Amino acid sequence: MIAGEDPDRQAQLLRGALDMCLLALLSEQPAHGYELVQRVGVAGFPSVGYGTIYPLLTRMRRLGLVAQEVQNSPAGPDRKVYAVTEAGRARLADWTAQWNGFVDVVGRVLAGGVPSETRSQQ
Amino acid sequence: MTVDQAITAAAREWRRLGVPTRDRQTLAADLRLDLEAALADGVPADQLIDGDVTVFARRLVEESGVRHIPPRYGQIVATALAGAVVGALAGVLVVAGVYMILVRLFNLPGDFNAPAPLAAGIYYGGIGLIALAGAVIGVLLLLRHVPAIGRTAAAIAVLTPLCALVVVPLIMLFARATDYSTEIAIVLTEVALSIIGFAAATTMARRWSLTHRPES
Repeated sequence: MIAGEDPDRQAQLLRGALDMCLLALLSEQPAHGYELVQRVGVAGFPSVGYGTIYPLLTRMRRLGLVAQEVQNSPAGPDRKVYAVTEAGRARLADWTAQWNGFVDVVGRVLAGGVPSETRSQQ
Repeated sequence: MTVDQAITAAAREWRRLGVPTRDRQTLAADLRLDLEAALADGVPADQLIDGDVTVFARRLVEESGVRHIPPRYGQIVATALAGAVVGALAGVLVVAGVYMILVRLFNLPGDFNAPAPLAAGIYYGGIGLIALAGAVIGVLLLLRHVPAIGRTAAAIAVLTPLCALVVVPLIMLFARATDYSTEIAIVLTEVALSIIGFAAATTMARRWSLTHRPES
């Protein structure tokens, strides 16, 4: 978890960004469900479990952003491997641009960078 | 919790939510693949899901976009019960009215006596049928905006008489065991048994209409 955060606040912030994070992680390399949970944990969100990730993956499959392929395993059960589709990559690019713009604005506000004229008008 | 137990718990919740059979099977098969793969990696199902399986199952249905219908058991049972009460009151009047008309039309011999079970069957059966009609009409009219209510009403019409075949003999046995007492506690118990039986039939009817609805 990101240091110094209230867990509830962290969960609220993550709610709007987790699908984007999953797409980004899957765009690096396809993964099966549990593997993706581990990647999310290593990325800095160890409290986000399968119970949260699997329904999101299901939604992204429904939206055509992620595809799943069942791979036979020589040792052990078959595995579903999730990969980002072309539509998913395009959506990730849009979301990334939107996120970066959002972070810029929030960063400016937090740094007190709002022009003084605008502040005096409010 | 084993993979089978997790799947069974999730499937039970999907069934309760009114998810169609085919969608339940697809969701379960998908989930099973993931849970079995994780188990092969040494992570049991309960550790992987890490929480209430029913909450997880609900969330999964919402995110998957599967069309499901909220069961609304309480609302449907209450409406059917209210309709049945109105129907039963109307039934008493109708049966009494029909009886009076028959008395006027047919001049039966003074020593004519209908067998008691037949007379009781016609009397209570008549009231019961009109009460059932009241329940079905009440549900159809008052809950017409509720999805799959037509199938539910049809199922109520079929299941209630079947349920009555079980419940009525039980009530008769109870009445006999209590020497046909008219004490308030005994009568209230008999009424409660009738209500419980009817509520059970209505709940089963709704459940059936949701879990066996035609695929769209």
